Amino acid sequence: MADVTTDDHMADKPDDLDGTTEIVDLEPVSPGQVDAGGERRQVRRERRRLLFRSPAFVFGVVVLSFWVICALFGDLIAPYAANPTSDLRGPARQAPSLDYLFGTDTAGRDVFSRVIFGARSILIMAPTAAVISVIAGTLLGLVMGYFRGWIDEILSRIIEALLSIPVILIALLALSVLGQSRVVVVFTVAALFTPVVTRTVRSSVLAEAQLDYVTSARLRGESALFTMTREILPNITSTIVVEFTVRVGYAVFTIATLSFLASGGVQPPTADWGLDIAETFQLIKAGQWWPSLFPALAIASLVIAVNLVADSIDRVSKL
Amino acid sequence: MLGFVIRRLALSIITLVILITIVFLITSVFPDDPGRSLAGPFASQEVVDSINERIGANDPKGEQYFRLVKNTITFDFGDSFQFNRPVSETLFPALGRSSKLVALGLIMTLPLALMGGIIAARRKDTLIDRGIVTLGLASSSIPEFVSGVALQYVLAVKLGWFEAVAAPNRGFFGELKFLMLPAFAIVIVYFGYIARIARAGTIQALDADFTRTAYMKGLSSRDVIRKHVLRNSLQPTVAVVGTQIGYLFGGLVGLEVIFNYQGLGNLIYNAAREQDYPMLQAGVILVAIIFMICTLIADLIIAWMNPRARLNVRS
Repeated sequence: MADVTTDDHMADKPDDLDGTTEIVDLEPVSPGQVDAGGERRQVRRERRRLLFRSPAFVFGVVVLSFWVICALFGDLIAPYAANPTSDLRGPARQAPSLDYLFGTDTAGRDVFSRVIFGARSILIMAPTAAVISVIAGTLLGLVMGYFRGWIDEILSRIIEALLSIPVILIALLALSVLGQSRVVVVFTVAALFTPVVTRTVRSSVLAEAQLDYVTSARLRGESALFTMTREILPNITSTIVVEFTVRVGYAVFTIATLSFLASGGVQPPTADWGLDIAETFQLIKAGQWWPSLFPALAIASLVIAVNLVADSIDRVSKL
Repeated sequence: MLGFVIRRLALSIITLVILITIVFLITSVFPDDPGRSLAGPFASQEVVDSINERIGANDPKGEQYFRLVKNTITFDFGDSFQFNRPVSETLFPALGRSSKLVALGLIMTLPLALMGGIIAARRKDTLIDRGIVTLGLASSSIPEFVSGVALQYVLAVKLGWFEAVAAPNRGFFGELKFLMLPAFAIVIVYFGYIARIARAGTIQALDADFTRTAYMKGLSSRDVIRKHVLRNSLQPTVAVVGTQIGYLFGGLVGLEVIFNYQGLGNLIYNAAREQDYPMLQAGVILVAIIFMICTLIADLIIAWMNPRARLNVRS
């Protein structure tokens, strides 16, 4: 494969020799590249301005910040503890009232407080899984898109096979074998998201690798590592940022579902939205809707917020 | 066309073989003792050994792998650890139930989503368009078990319009009365997703030269949409629906648990909890096969709609 690329460069050489005079002509333009940097900064500023003018983005950021604050300062916000000792518990199965905003569950625990504390586990696990999958996917995507060849061919087939099964099923399969701790869940979800990230990064690397600046980096004799990390990577950062925000949304979705299925690495009685729904949803039919509906609304608001932010960033980065 | 079908089929089979390998690697490379987990912690070592012998856990890994391939070809995965009965006895009825739910979900989702997407595309950048897109994005990001909880509370408990829990043998309409709720949850997840794709495809087709030509020929707006735009705009939608149907068969674990519906998702979930590996492998591979058949059909429909697509199988 490497031989073929050098052959390509050899074939390009005569053209370049013809164009030496043009290269001299290009010299005075090079200060313009400094301007291009300033221009890029201006584009970035413009994009940020557009972002904050979009109601969807602002709404998403506000809701997201609310949950982050709950995760960080839950002790200050929640009126009761997530798991009070038995003498401090309220009356069981109380419908929402002024004393207990979201009611109490069968154990007399305050649902509102549990919803506040429940933000913690998911807001730690989901972004961590997203970060790991984006790093792994970016590395793989860079290598696959830059070198092509048989590695690319084989990995592409494996990715396609993995994508033919719902993530949640492979996660259940893997977690039934690996056992369930938070770390295992985070890495499993990250591993299952890596193929999608890889596919996205690979296709933008493919597009970039055809551009002149990559060819000229190769002609300068830069190493593959330099070309990938210093030339291509900075030009696909917006793709990666968008992919990261989208992955956070999916990670919240997947981890909440896993913890609802008692496979999310969080053990009762820890306050966790998915787990709390799993423990109480059977009671809805008996009219006790509050211990499951409020955590459900919390999950819904968090995923919607993350997705609104992700979508707004995606929209702006394409302008 | 025949050449296209053969190449496409070969690709599916390669993908399936890779997937079987992945499933095998996950379930058998990691050290575990299936005999022990089946017999429980208090069983004697002889019992554990005899179980391992019977289910073939002591065989060389290579032999186990080829057994899994053979099982997939004959679709006979032996006995389930949980029920001590052939896997297929529980697997196929579950597949039947999943099919019913998926069919009803699609019948409710597709017309709505296509209409939503086309309306949004024709009113591009208006308030209606932004509304449909944002609503779709929000609704499709909610996990289906979460909307299941809300639907159960509002439509079954509060309003009493539908059944909250599956009750078998109620006849067609009795079943429909129950299935409507989980199907609504499917609508909530997939409306936005499919509407977005339909919108993007329609916008592209509306901008295309052939649409301008059709308008300039003096065709009515209705004829342009029906005869020229839809045929082209629906191709990405067909591709996405094909992949999503595959996911619907096994991916609705949370929804099936909330509604206590014994479909494929619930079956695989229980098999995972009970470490019932024959059932687990059979379920996951069945979902993969369904996915491949659905994407294959979608690709064939696209090839039929657009002869240019027959030229390249997949880049």
